[in-house]
Amino acid sequence: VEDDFKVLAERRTRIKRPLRALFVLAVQNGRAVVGGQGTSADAILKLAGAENVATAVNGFRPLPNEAIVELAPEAVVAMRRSSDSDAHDVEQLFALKGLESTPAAASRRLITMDGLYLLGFGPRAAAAARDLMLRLYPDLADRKAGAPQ
Amino acid sequence: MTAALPISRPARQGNRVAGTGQLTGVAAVTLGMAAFLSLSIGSTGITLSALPRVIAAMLTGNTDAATAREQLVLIDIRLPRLLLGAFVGAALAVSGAMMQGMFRNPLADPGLVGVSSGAALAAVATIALGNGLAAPWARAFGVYALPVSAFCGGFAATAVLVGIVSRRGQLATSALLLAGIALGAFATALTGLIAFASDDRELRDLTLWMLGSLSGASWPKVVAVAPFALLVAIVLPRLIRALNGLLLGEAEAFHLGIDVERTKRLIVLTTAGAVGAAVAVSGVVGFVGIVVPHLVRLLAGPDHRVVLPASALIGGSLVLMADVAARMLLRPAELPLGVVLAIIGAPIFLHMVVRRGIGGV
Repeated sequence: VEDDFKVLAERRTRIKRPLRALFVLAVQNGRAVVGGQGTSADAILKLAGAENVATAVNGFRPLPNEAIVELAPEAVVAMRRSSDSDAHDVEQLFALKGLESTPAAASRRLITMDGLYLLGFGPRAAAAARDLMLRLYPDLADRKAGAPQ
Repeated sequence: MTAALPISRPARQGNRVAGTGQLTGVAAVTLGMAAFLSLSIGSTGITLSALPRVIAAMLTGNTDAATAREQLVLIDIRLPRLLLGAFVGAALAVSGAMMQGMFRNPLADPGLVGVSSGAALAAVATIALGNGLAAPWARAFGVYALPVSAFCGGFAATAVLVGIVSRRGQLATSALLLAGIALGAFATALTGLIAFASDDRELRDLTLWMLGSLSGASWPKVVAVAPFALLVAIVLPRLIRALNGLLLGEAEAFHLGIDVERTKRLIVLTTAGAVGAAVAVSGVVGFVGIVVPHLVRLLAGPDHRVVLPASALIGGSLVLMADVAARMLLRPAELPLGVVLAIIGAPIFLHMVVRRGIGGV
């Protein structure tokens, strides 16, 4: 496990510019609940080499639409729901008024992963962070194709 | 609880600060100012000065990225929020005024006919069971499952209440009051039961919903509440004379030629519709329904020609101003609307009660 985290740290140094990412826990009644400072979502975003845009709030908090416009995330990370397809999730999330104008919506960058895997911080945490990193920075994966996992 | 206090006592002339038309005028100006604030303040720092640009871009159809962003914030985020806030405040305040008039009890609020507790129960059930038992329902309505079920729950609770209380086509006011309290307690207990069985994520969602917020405002929601705003606007003028008659007592109102039974049913139905719609879009927002009508009566006396329109305007202004505070104080997060309303409103109301003499209702 230790080694996995070392590999992760080494890879993080090769990210030229951290992506501005937002973790959306849920959309309830037209507003997004996002992962702020001190959350497992914040930690995994940092491990994966991204910058959490929602650090101004503590814990998982609902954020008004206008605030999300201001934060302008470049990628949105969410938990995959078993009942719906990814395409459905993308449609629903980016239909949210606050997300509509963000760079993330323009490039349709929504990354969904299994909630327990992504936020559980069990023995697989490093693997989850690596998966997330590779999906945030696909070009990193190309160059490291033959590297030991 | 104390016995029903008469609110028919004429207001002492010295206590009034405004005449019949004056207060309504002042309230309208206040609402205008609150609307201006609501549209011009927000976390992006975009102000109303962008509005001409946005309108021009909307009319001509050529727009750049910066203007599109301003349009999104002003037209798609702040404007629906403004309209919903005004509707929620007006609906709750007017319903409160009608309830207090009908029950002739200053403690009456719109929650008494079971709307709020029924709506809360349905909403909490949707949040907690949305992935389990209620999954087909949640999927059928998508993002609107919560508001739709809140509205249906509110209406169903009122229907049950009226069904229980009606005797030979009559609605006994005292029975309605007590049965309303009992039914509310029952619904609250069921809500508590569901909350007890919920997991962490559901608990957080439902707690936030119970505290109220306008941040989920969108045009589809504005369209959804518009018929109810229209309903209230049509029904209200027809109720003024009847409510003024009821101030004297039900028997007296009857002798004045007012159809008391029909009036009561109309009031209950209008309240269920208006409050149900308000709760559906904003969650539970307390305080406005009980306090705003009193504020108006303190200022202008009990005549419903003033009480109803001024309550609507002041209720709307209060909610809009509280909403501005809610979204600005902890930027970029926001405080729950119900909390801000009570924190700002309660001291003001207390001050007025003490200054103008208790019992001026």
